[in-house]
Amino acid sequence: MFDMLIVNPFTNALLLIYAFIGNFGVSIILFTILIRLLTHPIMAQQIKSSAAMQAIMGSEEWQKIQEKYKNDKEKLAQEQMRIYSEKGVSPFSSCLPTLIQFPILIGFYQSIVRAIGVTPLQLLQLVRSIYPGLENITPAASLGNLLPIDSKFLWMNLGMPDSVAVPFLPFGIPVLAIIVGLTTFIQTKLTMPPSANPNDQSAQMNKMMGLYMPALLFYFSLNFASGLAVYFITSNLAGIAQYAALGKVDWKNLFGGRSSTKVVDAKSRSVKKG
Amino acid sequence: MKLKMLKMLAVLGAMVFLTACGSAPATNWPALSSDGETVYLSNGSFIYAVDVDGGIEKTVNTAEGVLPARFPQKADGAMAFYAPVEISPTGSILVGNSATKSHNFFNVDPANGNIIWSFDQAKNTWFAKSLTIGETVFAASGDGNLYRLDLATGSSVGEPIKISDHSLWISPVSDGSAIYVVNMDHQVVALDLEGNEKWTTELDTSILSSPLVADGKLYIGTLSGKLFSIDAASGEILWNSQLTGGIWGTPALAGDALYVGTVSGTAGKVYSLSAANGATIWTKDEEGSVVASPVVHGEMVLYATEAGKLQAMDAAGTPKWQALIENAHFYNAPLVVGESIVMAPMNAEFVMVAYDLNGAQRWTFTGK
Repeated sequence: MFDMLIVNPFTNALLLIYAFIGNFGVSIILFTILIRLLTHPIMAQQIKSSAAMQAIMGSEEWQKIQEKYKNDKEKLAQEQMRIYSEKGVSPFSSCLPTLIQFPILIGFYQSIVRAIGVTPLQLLQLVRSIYPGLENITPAASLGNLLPIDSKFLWMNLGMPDSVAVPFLPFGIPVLAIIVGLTTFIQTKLTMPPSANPNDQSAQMNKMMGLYMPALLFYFSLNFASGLAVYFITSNLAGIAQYAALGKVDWKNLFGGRSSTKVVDAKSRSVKKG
Repeated sequence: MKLKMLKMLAVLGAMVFLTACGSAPATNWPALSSDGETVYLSNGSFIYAVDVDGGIEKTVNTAEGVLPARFPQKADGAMAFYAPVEISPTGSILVGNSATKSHNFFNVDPANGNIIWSFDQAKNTWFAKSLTIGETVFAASGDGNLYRLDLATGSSVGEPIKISDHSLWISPVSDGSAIYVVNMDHQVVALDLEGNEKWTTELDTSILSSPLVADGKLYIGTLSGKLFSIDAASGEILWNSQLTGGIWGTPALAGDALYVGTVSGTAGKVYSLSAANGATIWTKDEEGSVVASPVVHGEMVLYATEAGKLQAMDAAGTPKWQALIENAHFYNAPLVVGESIVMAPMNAEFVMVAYDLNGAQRWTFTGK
């Protein structure tokens, strides 16, 4: 079902772009940007809701009830719900867009993996995914013209992990994996929401994510097809651009500066100094 | 705070999910070979050597004692095996590594599991079975080259022959006077035994199975479902026949009839066609696609479907018997060794199963 609803349409869309462009690396980049644009309204809503939640959590009233009911979890929950209700914010409003985006992003990721097809079994799955009507859109999308997919892009074979040989070194340099790690680190830093209390659990977890995510994606890119690394890099850069377009990029985070915590009243959306 | 935690957990869960569904090397079907006594199964981390009569894993004497006859002895993240093993004229086993990051081609002594030599110049994975003619091993690599290696030493014999800019996944075949290599660029390439090109013939779509070479002709199917007959001497196309579905297996020949399976989505068909002109003699619809090559054994035509069915027919297309493994998938051609038909199912409780020539199960092998 997931394949039929999400992975197959995405795979065909990617192949169609490839049929027109003729370069699989560029097709991955364009398709990533396209998906980012399509999911932008959902993401914008999520960022907005997160900011509202952040504002509530940074408010004096919130801090007071935390202190007051720290030994009565039930009452604390009731009070928190009261504040959400008064401010007109649903606690699920920042979570829901994320949940909607997940299947899209995972399906998109799987469609790239499928289209790369680095084993006969994966190629069989790819051939099965191709819509028979695709070649009616353009003859370049016929089975005979699509396959084999040209996986050469710049210096890379998109079906293989990237490694650039350097004459004086006995091992290759994983250039793409390094760029993935760096762009993920930069994106996480730039888009990390300011915390009212840097010592709270959420701030700590954000901090950990800022370290773990780049390391994890670096590891993926080191070991998996470089076509995925192209996707990660494009996705990171597009993510930064999206946050920047919404005015949510905090450059001070990147250079170790301490960003001021902005507390936004959830109802009036007016900005106050926290 | 709880919401934040939930979101974080969701992100971490997605990360784990992404790890699990990445293009890891261990994503192909298993492959079988035999020397008449031992069946070799290439199935991911190991190549297993199993006695064909009892389905018992063979053993080797090592410095650490008596161990199962596996290559490698211990799972190694840099090794994965999905290419069929070639048993060389000296009895050693030749096989390439299918892992994405390491691309060695090995010559292994099956008596002790020691590597006799290893060739490390290829730049991509190996899925094709090699072909040894005399002292030369012809090995088709995922980097698009056909390597010629000295059987004794593993050193290159001349420059590699560039067959394609794309991966070579299909085993080369020979009729003794020429070597025939196919690629995904729609080409059949004939080389003389010195590696010089004799002819190249363009077909309509990618080719994902070795040609059958018989009576001075090649019979070969393509992804579009066209079956071609090609003159082996000149490369001229003699006839072609459009079938329903794509062709992923090598045709089998018995008398004047060819047998070939097709893949139409998840369903399939088996065809019997005239070898003289490609006219259809009979067809049989199958619920599962027929990815693997059919095999002719005596009066029996055997084929396996992706729905886990091994089917025996007579030459006229009348079913004789069938063996079914629920929820399993067959991608390998039935391997007939003596009185056994050996299969390597995917998604089953065992990795190998043997049937007798009447379809009764003889043994299974779990690989544990």
